[in-house]
Amino acid sequence: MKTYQEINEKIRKKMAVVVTAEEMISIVDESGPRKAAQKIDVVTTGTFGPMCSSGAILSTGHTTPRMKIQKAWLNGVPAYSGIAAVDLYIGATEIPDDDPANEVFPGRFEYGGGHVIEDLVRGNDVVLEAKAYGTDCYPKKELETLVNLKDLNDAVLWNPRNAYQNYNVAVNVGSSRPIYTYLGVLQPRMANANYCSAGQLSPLLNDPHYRTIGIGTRIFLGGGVGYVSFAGTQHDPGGARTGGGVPTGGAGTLALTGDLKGMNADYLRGVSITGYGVSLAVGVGVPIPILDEEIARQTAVSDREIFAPVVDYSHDYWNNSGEPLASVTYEELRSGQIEIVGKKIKTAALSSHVKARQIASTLKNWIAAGTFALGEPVENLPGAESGRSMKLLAERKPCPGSVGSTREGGGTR
Amino acid sequence: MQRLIWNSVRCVHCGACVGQCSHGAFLVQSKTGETAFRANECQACKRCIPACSYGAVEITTEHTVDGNKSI
Ligand code: SF4
Ligand code: SF4
Repeated sequence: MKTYQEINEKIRKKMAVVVTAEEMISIVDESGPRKAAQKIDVVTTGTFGPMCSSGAILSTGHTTPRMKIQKAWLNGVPAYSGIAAVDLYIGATEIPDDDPANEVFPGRFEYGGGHVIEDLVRGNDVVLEAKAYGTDCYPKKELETLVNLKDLNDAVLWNPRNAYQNYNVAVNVGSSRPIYTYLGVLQPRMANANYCSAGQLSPLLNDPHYRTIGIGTRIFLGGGVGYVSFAGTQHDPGGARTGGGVPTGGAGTLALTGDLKGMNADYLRGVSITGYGVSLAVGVGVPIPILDEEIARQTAVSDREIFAPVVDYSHDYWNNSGEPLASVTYEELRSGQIEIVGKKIKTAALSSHVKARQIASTLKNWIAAGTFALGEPVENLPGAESGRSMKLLAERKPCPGSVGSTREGGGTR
Repeated sequence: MQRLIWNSVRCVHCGACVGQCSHGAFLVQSKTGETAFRANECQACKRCIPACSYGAVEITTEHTVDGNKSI
């Protein structure tokens, strides 16, 4: 048994033994989890792929005269400004008001919130346009200016849901044309299958019961340093798991926060998903302290022990219906081919295993060099025992007087 | 003539294009896991273009010597 304090002391003295989650597989295989737990102090994980529930809070600094921004656009992309006078939130999936979207199908979605964030991180000037109704204390009503990341008072990546523990494999069973989804282009008659996970390198797959990854965990985020700030939205720990505890579907997620000014566009990329929209590809790396034998065993999980459900995106996914067509391992997925009911299907990823490896090894180098200490969680994420689960929205038609509200007339009019 | 251009700097090596290419022009290198493009195999069918979310592939139209487009 080791403590965070003991491991951090070794990190400070540059004596910590750090390996990536891929390297840990053969270490545990050869020496067993007990010896591995004695020998290894930290295992680093990594993942890189489109993570739609991402965005950045920007605080621009006050104008003269002052302005309470009501509507704002960054390079033509709407930014949410219902927060305070000059605080804006640019969401990764926001598109310009004049983007034709899917009117010409499939839409190309060439630029959006994710690209604005990438431009900022690249150090490019970005056009900020804003409007306001004007008040006695904030009289300015219009603004058009260039802004640059280095001049903003605050710029914080604020991602409500990243690093899904596991995810669907998407296929097109029933549509006679290619379908365009957030999991990429799916050709008819299950001609291809797309997935999006780093498998054995993925953070939450290496800590399946959230024993070490919790609120306050210090992480690699977008090339800089960030933190786990909460359980991510749609965190759903209660689903089915293998005997080894690895979820066989979506399960856990992380809300992540970090200073955008320390990040790097190699690990924060705006993406254009044909027919779907824009997003932000985020690089995330989480260190896992090897506190005991069980954690050592869990960080040695390999692609052949991790299963993902194959789901029909031509109908079942959007209709919340049906059962997965099959369950396949990440070893099969990464081989380039899976077999479902006798049919051989070509596989491809939207996430990058090459980048995930770079992230895990960069984080390993930071820790080994003594420049990155572990953050001990102040609170654990809800586990399966919490009973927390995801519900579908039960739609209810509002009618006058049917709901209590601070708005006169009961919230409807 | 149309030709596919692969921008290796923009490429993140996800392999989404590999899943679309039935001509073996895009492939995953087994040793490194990186994506490679073999221009000689490419039929310019454009199927990989909508699959790349990172703006790393585009199609260009080559021009003849007199400047006219030869599509
Ligand atoms: S889809 Fe694009 S980014 Fe991904 S490997 Fe192919 S060219 Fe590179
Ligand atoms: S254009 Fe067609 S042949 Fe060429 S790389 Fe793309 S999918 Fe393959």
